[in-house]
Amino acid sequence: MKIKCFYFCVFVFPALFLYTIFVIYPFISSIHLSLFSWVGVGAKKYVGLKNFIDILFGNFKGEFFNAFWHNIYFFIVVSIIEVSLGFLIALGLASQIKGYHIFRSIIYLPNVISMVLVGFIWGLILNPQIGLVNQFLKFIGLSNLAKPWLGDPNLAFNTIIAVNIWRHLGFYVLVMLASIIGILPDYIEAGYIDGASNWQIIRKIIIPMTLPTAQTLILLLFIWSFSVFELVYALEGVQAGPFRSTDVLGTLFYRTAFGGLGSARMDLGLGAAIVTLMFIFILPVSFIYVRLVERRRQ
Amino acid sequence: MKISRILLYIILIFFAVFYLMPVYILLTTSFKSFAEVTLREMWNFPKNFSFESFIQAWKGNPSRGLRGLSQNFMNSIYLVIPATIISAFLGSLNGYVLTKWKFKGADIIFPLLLFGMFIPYQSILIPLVQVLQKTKLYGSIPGLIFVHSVYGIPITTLIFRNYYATIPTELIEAAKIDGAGFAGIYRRVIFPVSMPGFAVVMIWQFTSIWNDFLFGLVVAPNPSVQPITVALNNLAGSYFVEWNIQMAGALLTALPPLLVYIFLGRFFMRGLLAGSLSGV
Repeated sequence: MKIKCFYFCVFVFPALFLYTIFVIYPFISSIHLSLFSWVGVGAKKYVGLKNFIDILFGNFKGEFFNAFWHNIYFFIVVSIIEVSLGFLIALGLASQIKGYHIFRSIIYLPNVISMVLVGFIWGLILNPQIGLVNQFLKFIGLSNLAKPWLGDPNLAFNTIIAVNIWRHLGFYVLVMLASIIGILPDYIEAGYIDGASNWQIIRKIIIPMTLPTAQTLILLLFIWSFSVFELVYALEGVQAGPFRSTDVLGTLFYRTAFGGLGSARMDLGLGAAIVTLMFIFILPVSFIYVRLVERRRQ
Repeated sequence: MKISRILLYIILIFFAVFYLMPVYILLTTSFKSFAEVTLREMWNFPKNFSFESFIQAWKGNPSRGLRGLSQNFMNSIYLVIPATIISAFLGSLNGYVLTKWKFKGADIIFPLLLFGMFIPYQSILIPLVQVLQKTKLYGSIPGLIFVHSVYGIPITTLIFRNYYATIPTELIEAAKIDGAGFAGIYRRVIFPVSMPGFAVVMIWQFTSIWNDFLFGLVVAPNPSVQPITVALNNLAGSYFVEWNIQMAGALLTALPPLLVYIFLGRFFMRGLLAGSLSGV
């Protein structure tokens, strides 16, 4: 049905208008800003592609790639663990278990708590002196395993990843569960009638049929991995310590654009260049995602 | 019961304990009085329940320069309610138009909206602040309401679009033959069956707006308009505030989304599992 211009203007236009002002315009203007050098006050100075050259080849290279590889590492570890563990737990839940609703609700629970709060609680639990983790390790006689989880540069980022998984796993369990429940029971019944074992049912029916879901989740995780910010900020501060070992593009951008003690450089233009690069990495993946969603719909 | 079954229960119970442990810590510590909070007994159950920490976290303690969270709690309430309703309605209208009506540019608008979900928030912060300053919305609660309403549009549209796709087009055709127009169809056909969709969208929006930190941090620099998450981060970051007060503040921050989840989570789960996630 064709829509009348009047209704379009009244019902669709306001949303589009706001969306343009608050999303599209800032986005374009951010790309524009990446060609300037600007400390926030005073005149902007046009510098062409200098910001990008500094980031990719110049004196900002070290800071940038340190953070960039952390984002990539984050993506790889988180997608392997969250998708596979999410699948396994969903499978366990889907096998007509007692207390299904309770387990499902408990594992999704951290998703409704603010990331800042998650950082705060885990900061306490992982505290080297009073934290529950180390006290427990000492209690069972493994005091040599009690480590400064957030203070050791070799451990800190993995610890943050673990906390992140604790927070988000429930979402992946739920999505995989929806996907497993969505499989027609007939397929599985037919498999059993043909004498297939549980293991064969999982391998030949459930895994292939949930694979598309896993695929899209990994695409989404790639996109989300580039916007990691709050947890690092809450656990390690804007300095992404110790010694930048937990720095990601989100915190690097924040330091560069809005300042903070010990920033290598403070420049809004440089900050804008960082996020422009972030977006360039995300862009192809989001295209694939949008096309996948559109194709599944047909 | 088979061994594998028992093993499965053990694994699930292990996960459940692991997931509930931080909640336990939050609860026990915040109900302790200051006298009981010692480093050694941090994790023990409180001997006598005390609301002292909550009162301090809520009202503050001016003599020690401790700001209470009450104002920020109310800021978050004033912010989250309108923003949730506005973004849910905009999403519902967009979803309706995108699934049931044809117009030029529809093929561009939807991908463009989805795109908004993928733009890292950080990438638009600098110009966003400028836009807000020009429109005099910077550093105010209405400014935050605006920002959250608009940034909610992509996800709410996506969920409603998935949901409305299941409403048969014949129903719309029939209403049209009966003389209903664009608004009439929405009011009489679409809206009345939208409640499950609204439940999912509003719970989603409520929790994500309440829990937002980055927008609050950047758009509201003034402590008197800061949402509670930002205020909590300041409280938790200071070294001279006792653990029990920090914990009570944390619990106050977590309470509204937890209550929503506990009482309405059923509808949320049902909606999600029934197909709101099918776009994923």
